[in-house]
Amino acid sequence: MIWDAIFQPFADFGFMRRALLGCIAISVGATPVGVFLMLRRMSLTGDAMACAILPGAAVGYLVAGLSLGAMTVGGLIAGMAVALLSGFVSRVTALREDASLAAFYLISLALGVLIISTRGSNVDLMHVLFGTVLALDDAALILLCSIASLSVLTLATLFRPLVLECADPQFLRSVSGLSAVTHFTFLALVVLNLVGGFHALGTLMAVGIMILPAAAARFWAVSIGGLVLVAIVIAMLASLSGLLLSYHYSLPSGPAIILVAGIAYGVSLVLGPSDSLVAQALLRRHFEA
Amino acid sequence: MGHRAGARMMARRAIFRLLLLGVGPRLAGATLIVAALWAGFFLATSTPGAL
Repeated sequence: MIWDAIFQPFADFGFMRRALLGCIAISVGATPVGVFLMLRRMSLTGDAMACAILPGAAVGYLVAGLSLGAMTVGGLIAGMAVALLSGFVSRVTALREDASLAAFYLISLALGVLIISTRGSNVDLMHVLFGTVLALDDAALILLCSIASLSVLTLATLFRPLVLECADPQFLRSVSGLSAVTHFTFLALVVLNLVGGFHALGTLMAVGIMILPAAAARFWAVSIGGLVLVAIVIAMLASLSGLLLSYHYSLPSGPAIILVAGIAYGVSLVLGPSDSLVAQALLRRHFEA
Repeated sequence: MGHRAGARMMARRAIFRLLLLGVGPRLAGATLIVAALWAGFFLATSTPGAL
C-alpha cells in the first residue's frame, strides 16, 4: 500500500524520477539562497528577480524556440541587467532600491508576457510562466545539477562573509574588501538559481521553492546552519509530496509542490518550536504564571 | 607611513583569515552533497522506466 502510493510512481516512470531529481537539485541549490535572502530582508527581491528574467527568456525563445541554452542565457542576462540597473538607479537618483526594482520587474514581466504572447501560443506562455517539471530532459537536469553544485560550493566558501553581511553589512564593508564580492556573488547566485528553477517550476513558481521553505524553517531552527538544513529538508519533502499529489490526483505539479511548501509554512507558523504562535502563547503563559 | 600601511595590511589579512575560518570542513560537506546529487542524476537517467 505504502509502496504503491509513494515508491511505485518513481520506480515505474522515468519522468517522475527526473522530476524528483530536478526538484531535489532546486531544493539543494535554491533553498539556502532563499534563507540568506530572508535573513537579508530581501525576500521580495527574489520575487522581483524571478519576474525580471522573463523578457530575457522570452527573447531566447524568439531566437531559438524552446531551447534550454538560449532561454537560460537570455534569462541570466535579463536578471543581472535588472539587478544592476535597479542598484544604479537607486544610487544616482532619489528613488530607493525597492521602488526601482519594483518598477523594473513590472516592466520586465509585461515585456516578457507580451513577447511570448505575440510570437508563441498559450501553451508556450504557460510553459514559461509555470514550468514543465514533468518534462525535464537530460540537458535540463544537467543544468539544474550544475547550478545546485555551484551554489552549494560557493555558499560553503562564502558562508561567513554572507552571515556577516546579513548581521552587519557596514562592519564587513569597513574591515574587508570582501563585502562587494560577497554581495555581487550572492546576487549572481540568486539569478542563477531562479533561471534554473524557471525551467522546472516556471518564472512565477521558482521563487516559491526558494522562499517558502526558508520562511517555514525560521520557526524550527535558530542557527543559520540549522535554518539552511531544515529549509532544504522541507523543500525536499514538499517536492516529494507535491509530485505524488500531482501524480495521484492529476494536479499541475509546480503549483502542487509550492502549495505543499505553503502548507508546511502554515503548520510551522502555528506549531514550530521557535517563535511560532503556539510557542509564543506558551511563553506568555509561563511568564504570567 | 610604510609601517602603518604594513600594519593595516596585516590586520586585513587576519580578518580575511577569520572570514575563511572553517571553510575546509564546509567545502568537504558541500562536496559530499554535490557527489550525492550527481549520483542521483546518473541513477535517475540510467535506470529504465516506462516513460
